[in-house]
Amino acid sequence: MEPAVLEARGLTYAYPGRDVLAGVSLRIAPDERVGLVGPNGAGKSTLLLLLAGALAPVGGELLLDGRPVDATRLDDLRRRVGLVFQLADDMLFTTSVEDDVAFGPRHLGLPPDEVERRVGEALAAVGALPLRGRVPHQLSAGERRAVALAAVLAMRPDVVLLDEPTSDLDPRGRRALVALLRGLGRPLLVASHDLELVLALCTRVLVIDGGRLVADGEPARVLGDEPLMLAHGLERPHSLAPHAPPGDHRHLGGAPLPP
Amino acid sequence: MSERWLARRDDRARLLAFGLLAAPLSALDAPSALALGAATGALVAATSGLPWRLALRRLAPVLVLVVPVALLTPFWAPPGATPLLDGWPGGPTREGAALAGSIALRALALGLLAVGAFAVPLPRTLEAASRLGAPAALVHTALLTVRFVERLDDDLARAGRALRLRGFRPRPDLATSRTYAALTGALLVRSVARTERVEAAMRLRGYAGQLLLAPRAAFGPRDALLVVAAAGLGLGLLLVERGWSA
Repeated sequence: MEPAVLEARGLTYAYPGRDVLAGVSLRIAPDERVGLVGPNGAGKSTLLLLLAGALAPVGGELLLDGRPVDATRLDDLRRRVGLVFQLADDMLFTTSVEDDVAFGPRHLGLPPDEVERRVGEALAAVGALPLRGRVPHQLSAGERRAVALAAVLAMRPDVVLLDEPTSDLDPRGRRALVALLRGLGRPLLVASHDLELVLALCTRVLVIDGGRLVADGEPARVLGDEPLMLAHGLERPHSLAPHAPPGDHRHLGGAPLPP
Repeated sequence: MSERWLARRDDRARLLAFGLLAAPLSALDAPSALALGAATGALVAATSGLPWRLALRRLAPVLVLVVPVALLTPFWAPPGATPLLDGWPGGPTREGAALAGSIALRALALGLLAVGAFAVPLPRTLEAASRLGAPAALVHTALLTVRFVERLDDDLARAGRALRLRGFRPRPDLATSRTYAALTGALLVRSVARTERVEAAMRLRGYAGQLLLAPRAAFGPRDALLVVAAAGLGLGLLLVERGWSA
């Protein structure tokens, strides 16, 4: 078995009066893009926050490169596991895109020229160099998503976690994001309701429900298992369902469609 | 002092210069000193690089406050006041007119000075204040407020739209007050939740209670010159004031 970059063993977590995670174990290998799907309230976002070190688990442990993460390694965990929040706007808290992307490297104590280099590289990686001098508040949803990803990439994380990365993107923005994430060359864990995204992007998928992992496997197989999907508040993606033959629709005005 | 020259000065120098001019300006009483102060403010505003329309827009709140005061204060009549116009009992007095002129000129001078000194985006001024030793918590809070106040405004606009779409019309009754209270509560709760998420995002990127700001250019001789010039001008204004008093 390939060594895991990030591993969770029996993670549990509870908010006051409500258990959210009940012993979640998972491992992410260096070449994996893992999807995490489940109904609302299943614990997806909480799991990501635990894996990134934003929350402390009630029980269980996290391992980074096979070594347990304790309080003394929390900064290391936060540096090496990057989390892109569901609401990208929450990650952009300074008054310029450049300052936002530089925030992480600067707080890592890197020299100014290295900070500058990382900002340029991260913005270029997500195609957001022209946004460098812009004010985050004035960006579109897709631009904010790209800048939030750049802010994480500037930390040069070993693993990138994304929480509902396509929730506010139009189809073009979504396609661009899929292409971008495919080319990142880093292991990913993507929590999403967008099952087509998971199919298009991920090499493996986990299904979580009621704070427990209930399935783990190859995306087309897991997501194509309709009884499993329905049992856990999900649906089989349309692209895995049998389709009506093409051509039984009318084109309503405008330029004719290409043949 | 060219526009370019002033616009390129270090933000700390600009902030210090503002303080060194604003303090004596607010203490002036003599009409000649105040007129000189207003002229100084106008010079700073004119050389700040700010388009004049934007400068006027920023000055507008000062004018909105000053104009009514300048129109009403001449009617102030202390005991033994001299009427400005004969045959108009209860009309404007010389003392009132002098006070109105003093208030208007001082406010105009300070307003123009502030418009010129704070022509750069507010975060830059806040960062400069931080570098000059302003309390970190205050600066961080102000920086985050600048960033998220527009977001709060968006939230408020959306909530208002949603209320209107559900038939809400403000009336002078208890139901309207309750609705506004609920709206305020909802915005507050949402803001607290957002604050928690933002703090988590900051901590995940290395924040540990100290906000590290972008390095800016070093404080150079020309910046020092601006500060010295402001101190000299401030001193000059005080000397003019003293000469008038004597």
